[in-house]
Amino acid sequence: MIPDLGLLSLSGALALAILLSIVPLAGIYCRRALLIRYAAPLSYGVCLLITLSISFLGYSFATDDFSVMYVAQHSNSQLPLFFKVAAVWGGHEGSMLFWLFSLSIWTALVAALRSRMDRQINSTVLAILGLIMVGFCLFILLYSNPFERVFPAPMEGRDLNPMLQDIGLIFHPPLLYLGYVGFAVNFAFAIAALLSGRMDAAVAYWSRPWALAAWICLTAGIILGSWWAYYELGWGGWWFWDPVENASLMPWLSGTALLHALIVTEQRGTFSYWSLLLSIFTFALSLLGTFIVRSGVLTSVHAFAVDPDRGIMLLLLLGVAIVGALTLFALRANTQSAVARFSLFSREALLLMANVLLSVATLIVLIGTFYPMLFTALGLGSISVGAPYFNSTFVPPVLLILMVMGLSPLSRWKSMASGQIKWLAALALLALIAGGTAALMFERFYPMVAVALVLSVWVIVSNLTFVRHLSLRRLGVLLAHCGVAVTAIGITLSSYYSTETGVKMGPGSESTLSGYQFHYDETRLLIGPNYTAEQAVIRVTREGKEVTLLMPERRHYTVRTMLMSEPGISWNLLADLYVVMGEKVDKQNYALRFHYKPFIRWVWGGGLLMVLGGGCSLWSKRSSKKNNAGMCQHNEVTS
Amino acid sequence: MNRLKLFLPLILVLFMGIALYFGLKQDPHQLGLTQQDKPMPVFVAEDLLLRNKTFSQQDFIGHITVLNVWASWCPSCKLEFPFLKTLRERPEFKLYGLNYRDNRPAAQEVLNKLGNPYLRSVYDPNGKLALELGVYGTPETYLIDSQGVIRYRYSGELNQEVWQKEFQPKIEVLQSMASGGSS
Repeated sequence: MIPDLGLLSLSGALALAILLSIVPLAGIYCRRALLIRYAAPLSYGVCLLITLSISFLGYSFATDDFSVMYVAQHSNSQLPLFFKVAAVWGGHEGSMLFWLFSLSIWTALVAALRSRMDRQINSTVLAILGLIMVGFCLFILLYSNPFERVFPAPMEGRDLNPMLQDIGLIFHPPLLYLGYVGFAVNFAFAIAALLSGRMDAAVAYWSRPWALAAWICLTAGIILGSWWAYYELGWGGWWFWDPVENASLMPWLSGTALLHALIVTEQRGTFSYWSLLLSIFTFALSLLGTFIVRSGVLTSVHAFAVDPDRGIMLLLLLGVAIVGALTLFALRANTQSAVARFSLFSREALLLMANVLLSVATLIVLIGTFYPMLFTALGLGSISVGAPYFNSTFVPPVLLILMVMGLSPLSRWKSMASGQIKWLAALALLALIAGGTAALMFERFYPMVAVALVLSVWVIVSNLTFVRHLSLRRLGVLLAHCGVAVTAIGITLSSYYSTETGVKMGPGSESTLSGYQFHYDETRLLIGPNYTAEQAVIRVTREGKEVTLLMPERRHYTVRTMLMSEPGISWNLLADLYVVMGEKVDKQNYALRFHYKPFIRWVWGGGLLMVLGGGCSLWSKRSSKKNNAGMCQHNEVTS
Repeated sequence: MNRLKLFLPLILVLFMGIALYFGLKQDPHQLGLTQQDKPMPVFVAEDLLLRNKTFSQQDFIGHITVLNVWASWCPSCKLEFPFLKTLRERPEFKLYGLNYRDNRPAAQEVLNKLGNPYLRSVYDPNGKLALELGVYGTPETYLIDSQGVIRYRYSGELNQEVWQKEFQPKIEVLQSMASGGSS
């Protein structure tokens, strides 16, 4: 009964979404104000019905309704309630419904915050979002129905993949999806701008907070994902240039470029090509990400269900969206060149450089992810790329981006203020000394480490000059840019100075790594809710003093007969000690793997700073709305 | 700006989309069988572990070979190791490794840590041999008959299931052909 209601509300949502995609546009075309006004209530209606639908699915999970095939495949009566709810987005069908759910939330928010926007633009945006929802509703109903029944209902479910039974799972995919889907709003703004023939400061002003909000979610989702991979998968790593990881990195890079392009369009009225194209491509890359993860087109360590039919349909959705948008762009974009002039060292020029570099970085990741496949598909034979390709091609643009980021706080619109050169030179010298000294303090010297450290310090010291006259907006920029530098430091140091060793150990034995002694005290047996586990208790000492206890586990999940390793981790700001419990070698001993990972926390700490910085910017945007409302009205009058 | 230039993004995207469509129609594990039924390319390479020994196409003649492409930077390759070790002692073929775009210490470190499943490994730091074989991504596994002719290629992680479905029957056919030929 309940699952049928879920399907019913989803069908209702489809009907309302169809209306939403037609009525406001028809209203604009026939100049009927009443029809245009329908956009907001219809958006709320779609959101309500989709929320109901996903709640019904959650209820089916909570009550162990195994007559629903999706529930039977991803849950189990023994699974803790917390994970039952998270299992809603643990598989293909549910995660597509969650995708739609996020889109409906964003749509309802755009409708709710319409009072500050031009009504016609707002209604067009809602109609475009409605159209995207129609596509996804149809896809879910026809190709990926999470409410499909199975007769007879099995007595017990297959359980959730143990890899996904973790707090990281509860928040990683939803945040990622909120980020992916949030860029749909900017896409809709770009289409609305093209349809109405205006891509001006006002549209950029309305569009930017949405890009910022989506970017914050995406950043948080990526950090959480990499942290989750680090502590849950037991590989001791956090980024492998895996296609699925690249799938979230690409929209992040182009989304970052979009944020910066919108600043210029908003403040100076130029760069509208960049803003439009980046809006379109960021959303396209988000869809491509969904497509990569959900179609099985690329083999990946992330094992998801392979279903070419679904892949084709997702590709079709992607194709319609991007071909439609780019055709519109080609036909409607304003061909008059911008009047604004700026010099080589102005803020505009730096932002242009940043955009070019971020776009190049996006393209590098895109090529690395798809090149091998394209090559084969075009019948040119085959060729391979892998981590070596990414490491050698991705690093140079990133270093250049750091260089530009260090210049940005001292730049001014139109032209560089005189007197800044002395400041620049002083800061550069400071960075050179501090970064160089830091690089020399490590046991081995690598030129690459020195370059990365100097540039990161350069970004931090030059951003700290903001402190002199700090506003909330500047604090946002400061935090986000320093976050990038902190992450860069973490990535560099952890990848150059990590060490690891593998040893056979049992109760009573000892081992050493990077100055730490590991004493294996005992093996404990534990019983969890749906697994049993062996846990090693390892005492760590340094120069005779006890430092910490590491307790890695090997879990046996009974329903899926799967073995999972839970690493033991002891962390602080400077380094992590990480141990994974491997196979049982004989009666007493296990194969253990110890890792020493310096500065690894900085990778995620920097990400957190970026999220905080984004939050500050969003907040400052909100509080400055009153001041800027006048400006927007002014723009509407002039346009 | 010339309006024609504004069509450029659309054209590029269309081109990519068409290629993507054809990519999707293929089984991701059976990509690019261009090398199938061709002999091993002529090559000379170093042995990964024994620096003074060299490897060449001659080493693939006289026995069936399973050639597994791997690298220390490739996480899925390491996932394969436990299964590969179960293959090491089989008498019907020799399990060789092709160490791809790697550096020697890192690769040796992995073998020391995880245990070496290969009888020998070709050291291919610049991907020269891999390019000629048409390696698409790691891990990848080739089945080579006793005349040194490539008979099958699989892209992706090897496990028991894949082995029994894809490799076992083909090896049995190669074996019966070899024994039929000799008798």
